[in-house]
Amino acid sequence: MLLKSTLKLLNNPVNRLLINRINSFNYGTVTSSINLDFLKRDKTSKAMKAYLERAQQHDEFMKTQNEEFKIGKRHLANMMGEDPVIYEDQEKIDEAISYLMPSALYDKRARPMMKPPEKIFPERKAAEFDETGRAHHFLFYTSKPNFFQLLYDAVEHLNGLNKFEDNMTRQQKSVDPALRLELSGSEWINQDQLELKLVENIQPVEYRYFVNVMNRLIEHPYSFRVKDFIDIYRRPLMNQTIILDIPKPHIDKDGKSFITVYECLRKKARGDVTVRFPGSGKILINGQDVTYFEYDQSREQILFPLIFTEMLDKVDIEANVEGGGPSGQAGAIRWGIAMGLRSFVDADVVEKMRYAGLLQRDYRRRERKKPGQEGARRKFTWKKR
Amino acid sequence: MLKKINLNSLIPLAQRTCFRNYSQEPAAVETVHDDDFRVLNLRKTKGTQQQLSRRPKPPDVPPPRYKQMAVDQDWGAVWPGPKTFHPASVPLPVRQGWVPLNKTVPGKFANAELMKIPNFLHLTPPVIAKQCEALKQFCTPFPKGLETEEQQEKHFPVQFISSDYVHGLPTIRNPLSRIVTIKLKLSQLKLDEHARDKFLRLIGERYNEETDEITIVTDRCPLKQQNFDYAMYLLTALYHESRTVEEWESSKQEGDMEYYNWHNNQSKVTSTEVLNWGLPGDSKVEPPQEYISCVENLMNEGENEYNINKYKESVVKMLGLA
Amino acid sequence: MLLRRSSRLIKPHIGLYSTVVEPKLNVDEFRTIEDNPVNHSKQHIGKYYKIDDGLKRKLFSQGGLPKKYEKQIKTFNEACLMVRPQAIEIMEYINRTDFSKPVVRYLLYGERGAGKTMTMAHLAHYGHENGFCLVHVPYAPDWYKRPKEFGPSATHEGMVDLPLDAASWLIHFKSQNNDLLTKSEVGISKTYDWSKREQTTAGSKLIELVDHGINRAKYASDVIAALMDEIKIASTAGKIKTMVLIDGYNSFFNEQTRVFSDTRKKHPVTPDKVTLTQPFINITNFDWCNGVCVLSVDIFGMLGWERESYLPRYLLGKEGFEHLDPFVPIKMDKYDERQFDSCISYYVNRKWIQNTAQGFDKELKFLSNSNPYKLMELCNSV
Repeated sequence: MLLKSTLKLLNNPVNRLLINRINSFNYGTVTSSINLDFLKRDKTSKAMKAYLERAQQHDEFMKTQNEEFKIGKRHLANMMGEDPVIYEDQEKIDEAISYLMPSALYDKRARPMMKPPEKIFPERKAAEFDETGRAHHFLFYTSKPNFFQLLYDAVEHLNGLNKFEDNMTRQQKSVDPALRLELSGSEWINQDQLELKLVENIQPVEYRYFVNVMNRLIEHPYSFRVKDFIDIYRRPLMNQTIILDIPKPHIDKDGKSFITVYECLRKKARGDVTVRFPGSGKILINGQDVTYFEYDQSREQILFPLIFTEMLDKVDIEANVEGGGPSGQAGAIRWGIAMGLRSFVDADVVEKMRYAGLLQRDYRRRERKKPGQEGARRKFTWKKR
Repeated sequence: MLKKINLNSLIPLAQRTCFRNYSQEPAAVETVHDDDFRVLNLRKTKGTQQQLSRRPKPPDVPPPRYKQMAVDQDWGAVWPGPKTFHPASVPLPVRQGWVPLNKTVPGKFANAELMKIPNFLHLTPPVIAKQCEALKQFCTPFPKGLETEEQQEKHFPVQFISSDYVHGLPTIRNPLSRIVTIKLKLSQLKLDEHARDKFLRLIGERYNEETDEITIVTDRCPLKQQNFDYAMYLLTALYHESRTVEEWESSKQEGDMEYYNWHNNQSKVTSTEVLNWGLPGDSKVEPPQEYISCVENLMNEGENEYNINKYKESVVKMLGLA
Repeated sequence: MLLRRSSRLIKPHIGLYSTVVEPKLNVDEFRTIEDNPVNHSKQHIGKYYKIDDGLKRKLFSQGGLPKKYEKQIKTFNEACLMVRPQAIEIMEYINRTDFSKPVVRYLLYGERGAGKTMTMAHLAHYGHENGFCLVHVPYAPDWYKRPKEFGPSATHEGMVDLPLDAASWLIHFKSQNNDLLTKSEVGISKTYDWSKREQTTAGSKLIELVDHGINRAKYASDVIAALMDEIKIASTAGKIKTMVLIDGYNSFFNEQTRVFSDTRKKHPVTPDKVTLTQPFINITNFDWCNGVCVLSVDIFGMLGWERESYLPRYLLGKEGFEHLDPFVPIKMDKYDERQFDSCISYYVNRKWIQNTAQGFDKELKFLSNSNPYKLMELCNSV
């Protein structure tokens, strides 16, 4: 962004002049042009000057940082006894750093890192006004021009769509339902991401405005006409991305394909589930058949994904599960079977499974008992005396 | 008085400034080009210069050491042993610390996070290679004739396990280093049936049936050598004790048996009676061997579908129902 | 249940407007017209046969069929039993048996609800048709877990008597064998003195002995002991053929019972201190001929804490195993494919299953794991 801003500055003839002038300030000796400048009565505003100073400082800072990073890479190569060329690859650098300074901190962002300065230092806004102090953007004095521009654009699009809809109704044409926007797999970007995108700080209430306006936009029957605009501010659901990267089945020695899902969790139960295809509907839970579960409900839990995908007698299931009680174990196996079955069914069915909540991990855990209460929520019986 | 003087001095000052404006001296250019509101400086103080001089002078610190390092230096010499991270000695622009998305990660200077985590800066691959090379002269060749696991097991049947500890205490003795474990395959002792049975009873749970291995752990004595001697003593004593036959061993009852023997049991009586029921006295029919082994398996191996099925087949055959 | 839940949505459409023809089930597929178990053979496996109502009342009026099954019989308005392969197997063994040799003991074992009791009932019917004298104990653990009345035995020192249970068993015995007892000329081998005035003289008929036990409940247990002896003697002599059927046989060898030696219910006794135990252990001994013993071991005959395995050696214990050995263990399996289909067809035929949405049978099979009892329970709600 900063680079872009500098380029923009360069393209502007007025700015070019300005930069020339700055250069003369820095490097030039005193020349006759100064006289001319004085005659012109330079109108450069103070704000512009301060900005240029800042920008220059920043550029210089980045330059030294880049230099240091470049030398650091050479040093790293020397320390690790490798060819410096391979440390052009950021992955190799990360590998070397994790070797030299191993850290088991949970959040990977909290671990030691050595990254190019562009990745480290956040972007900054370019100049928003010209050298006379006049703002480029008509919304400059809202102090959040990018944000309000976004709202403005959204409403502009909405008006355009309304107009279009009127036209269509006049021509007695109805909207084709096939063209409707498919937005179930994504959601609006959150406030932090929007802030990064706009390079402006936003208040929660302003973020709500954004969501409301955008929701109104997508509710419009012809919203597919502004799909490009909408897509900028949407991100895929986390779950969706997990569901979408379906693993490829392995082949065992009998020529059957199989998928093992590890870490099937529900309540306190934990297990792994192997789905084999083609099979005959055999099920093995901890070396026992479905009688491992005494209650019908637990058996139904396991049955559900199989019935739903109509794969009951087409696959074999093998599950190892421990911890927790019957319902937790059944839930863990259900999730494991559903995740395993993704590899053996069509994308449509996977989508249906997602809708049915089969691929959703159930994160609920037992709530702790509170002191002064009988249970998690229940209070002691209240007696007046 | 003072006022007067000031007023008088005002005019030449203004004139001077004007003059300066038109002059071509570089210092004057600056003042003109700045659009600052001109301040009437009656006392002719050098305001800015005074302010500058008031600022404390930064201490005269040499630049960090890494700035002078060559990129082809011998890193092992720079960082020879384990040491806490030092920002000036490590020439890498590393950073650490969790920050929100649009903030800068703290650099290496004055970063406690980097000092907290362990580092392997003293054990980089080239250093390790160098040390291995240096250690090579102390190595001896692997003894001949002990290449395979079987050979090792044959010549050295007893496995001896103990641990040594390196730790930062005034004493060099760690109490855990006294513990000695010896392992041995039972088949190596070459015991007969009686001795083996007795040995197993004496040793109890220290025998692993799956691997045929006995494990003796000794930790009673304060020193490793004493514990080792004690373990060897135990092994010797167990071996000889298991080979002696005591008088009372002949009075073993059925309840003392560790396995089911069909010939000593009720099953023999009943099955023989069933087979001989109603037959003339002399001719005795013995139950078939198949049945006997089936009953023994059922009792010794424990009950399972397979054993019961075998038992059923043998009974059906014996009773002539097949 | 999934089926049930979905059915709420689907039912109105199918029930009212569906033009789908209900699947026509061939009656012969799951039913056999061969109602006499004597003629049952391998080809009847998995099919249902009907027990005549009068006969059912005669054989099982005092017990012998599970309570829930009785209820189902009432609902279906007919008493139908499935011919299980294990029953056929035992019948084949019986047909091959040399009756001059000591009795062969067959032991049914299997998981809960696998059909042990139902197979017993089928065999009881078979024995009745075949002219066996039936010594049928519907469910032995009842005596030890839920005794009707108990008190110290008058004749045996230190033993506990269950007079009412004994008398009611005699009634059961009498109702099952009434024809045989009245017709046969079997006499008693010796004179039994019950009290100063009461005695059953040698040579009198068996039924007199039984009647005495029924009328004088005090002596019922002793009468049973005498009856067992007499049956053994008569069978060995070849006068009658006897079939012994005891359900829950392992309860005779339990560690503990809920029968108490005192009225304050402080000291529970072991089964061998109950007078009823010995006669039935006696009749399952091998020292007689001309008969057959079919016994079953039931995990629910055990007390709560010792229900770890359904296998016979575990359930019988060392003593029980040694008493029975050599016996023929027969495992009651779950339904196989054919039996399962037949059962489902039967339920559909009886309109017991009304929601035949696609794949319902697969679902039921998975949920019940083809266990007959579980299947019956699940079908109650479909």
